[in-house]
Amino acid sequence: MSAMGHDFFLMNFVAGLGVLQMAASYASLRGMLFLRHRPLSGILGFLAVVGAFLWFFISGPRNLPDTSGGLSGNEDAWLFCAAGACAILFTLAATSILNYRMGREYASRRPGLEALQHTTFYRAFLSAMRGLWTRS
Amino acid sequence: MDAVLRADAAVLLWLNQWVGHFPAWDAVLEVFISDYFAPSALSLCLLGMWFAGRDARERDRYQRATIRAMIALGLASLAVLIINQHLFRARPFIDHEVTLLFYRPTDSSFPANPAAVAFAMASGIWEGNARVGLIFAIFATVWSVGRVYAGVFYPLDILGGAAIGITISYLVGRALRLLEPLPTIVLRVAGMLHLA
Repeated sequence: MSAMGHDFFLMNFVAGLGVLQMAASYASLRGMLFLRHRPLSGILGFLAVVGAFLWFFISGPRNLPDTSGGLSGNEDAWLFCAAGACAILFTLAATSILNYRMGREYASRRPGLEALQHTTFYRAFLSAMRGLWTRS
Repeated sequence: MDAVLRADAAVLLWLNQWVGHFPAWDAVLEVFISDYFAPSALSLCLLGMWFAGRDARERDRYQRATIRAMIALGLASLAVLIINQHLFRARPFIDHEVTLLFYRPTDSSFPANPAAVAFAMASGIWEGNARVGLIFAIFATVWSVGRVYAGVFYPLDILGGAAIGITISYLVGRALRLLEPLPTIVLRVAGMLHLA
């Protein structure tokens, strides 16, 4: 991967983490927050987005064609998708560990992201799998 | 047609004459119109929209709009690529003396890919949340007009790109409605895995 590709991936990964914190804070998805304090998580997310963009654009010349160190449209697209997917996976995994005690008694098998308002992704996913297993 | 093209060039030259007069503004715009700022910012907004619904109904609306915007974005890009194979318009800096704020792209000027992509996303999101859609549309307009100011597109390229983006987004919306219950099934399966 080129230096520009590496930096672009990193910017989108960190900004993606920030956006997910902002969205989870807004939607009260407590199981997806890194911090227990909801508004603080949103602010932290916003700072991560601003910081990632500032770092990327200040750390070097970015107005380059793909023939001189820039990225082509296709590279741009797949690097963003990879960074976004990594940000989602990292957030779900890290918050499942950080909030391990959260929602232990939560036995609802309500589908969807709404379950993350009360428990972690790991517990909700496990509960969904158990539900599928007992149904089949 | 000649009169239209002359007017197109005149608008471009009028906008481009201001480059260099306000260095601080140019520096900000150089970041904004780059290949990385606007695409990342708009795509990150889509990522946020997926998770941002406060209840099941709102989330369903946002996620359908996000799906529509993502498909429209890909198809708009593909449409521009196909049109560029058959139609080539030289960039403004080839035929006119312009001050560039951007590198010299070698692909066709018409239709403008940034406008097609950004307006496809804006009109896709509009259905889910008109306020966010409006913000996307303003963002898309500034990005597109910024590229004209920077001397790499004519205004008609932008209008053509925007028309392609909006039309494709509308058609994707219609197609998704026709494909029901497929989008609902996709969202339900993702919901069972707590991802939607």
